Amino acid sequence: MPLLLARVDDRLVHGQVAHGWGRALRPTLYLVVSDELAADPARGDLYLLAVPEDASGRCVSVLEALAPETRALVERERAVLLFPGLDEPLRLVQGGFPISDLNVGGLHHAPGKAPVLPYVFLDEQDRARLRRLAALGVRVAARDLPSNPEHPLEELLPGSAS
Amino acid sequence: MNGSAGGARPVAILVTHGVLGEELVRTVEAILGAQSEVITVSNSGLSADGLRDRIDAEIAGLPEGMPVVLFSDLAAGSCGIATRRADPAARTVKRIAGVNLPMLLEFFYNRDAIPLEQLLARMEAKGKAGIVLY
Repeated sequence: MPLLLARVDDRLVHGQVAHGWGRALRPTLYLVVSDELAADPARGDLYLLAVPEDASGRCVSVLEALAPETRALVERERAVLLFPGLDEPLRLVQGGFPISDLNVGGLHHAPGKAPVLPYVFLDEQDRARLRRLAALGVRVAARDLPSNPEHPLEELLPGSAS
Repeated sequence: MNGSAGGARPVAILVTHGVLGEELVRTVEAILGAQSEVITVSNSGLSADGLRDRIDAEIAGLPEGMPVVLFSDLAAGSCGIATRRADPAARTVKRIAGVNLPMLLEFFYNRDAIPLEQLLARMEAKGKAGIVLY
């Protein structure tokens, strides 16, 4: 089964993901890829509270995500991958994990980040990571919900081609 | 507009204090995407009879045959009482009080897929299950 969704969202598994995307995609696995949460299981479990009852959820590190058994699990399930930021998907793709499309669904305000969309705020490091992902062949676009319009990378990085 | 459960899609009418209903719908739309067949009625500035009349008028303005679910915030408050007193002629109207987000998500998520009676029971269960002491 091809990966249903790879999404950058600092809220990880929350209403928009479990209900908005979940309804459209019917995933059986929500895999949170975050070194920070994989190292802190108690906090990781909090982010899995919103996983619907007909699916399972796990938090893994980037290294664990790259392991053959995790790759096999993702291929076996109807999987949604969630990343808290852009570092994790970049390292995953650099490690050889196949991600053809990356959905930017929520990168909210933090000091030094400028608004691009109501749910996307970027700093220079984010923009550099987005360019790297695009250069690695990943199709990057922002969209909060499946019923809302998609914003291609060029709209997130004005003045630069993807 | 027809639900796959066999009947017409049920319409939601949220009868609440102040702007609670509007904000609940706004939040549902932030989670599920834009919704249609949903109406909000606020009790602000309305007497008991005025609120009841507003609900009746909203229902009367809907196409015939469309079932209605009247949500209210407080069962024993002005909104809950007005939904009990609403008296729509020749139409299926269901009433549920204590409206909260889990209940609404269940409704909007499944209103095209699950027969209304069954859906109402699930909405009640989801609404209650969403209250957790920890």
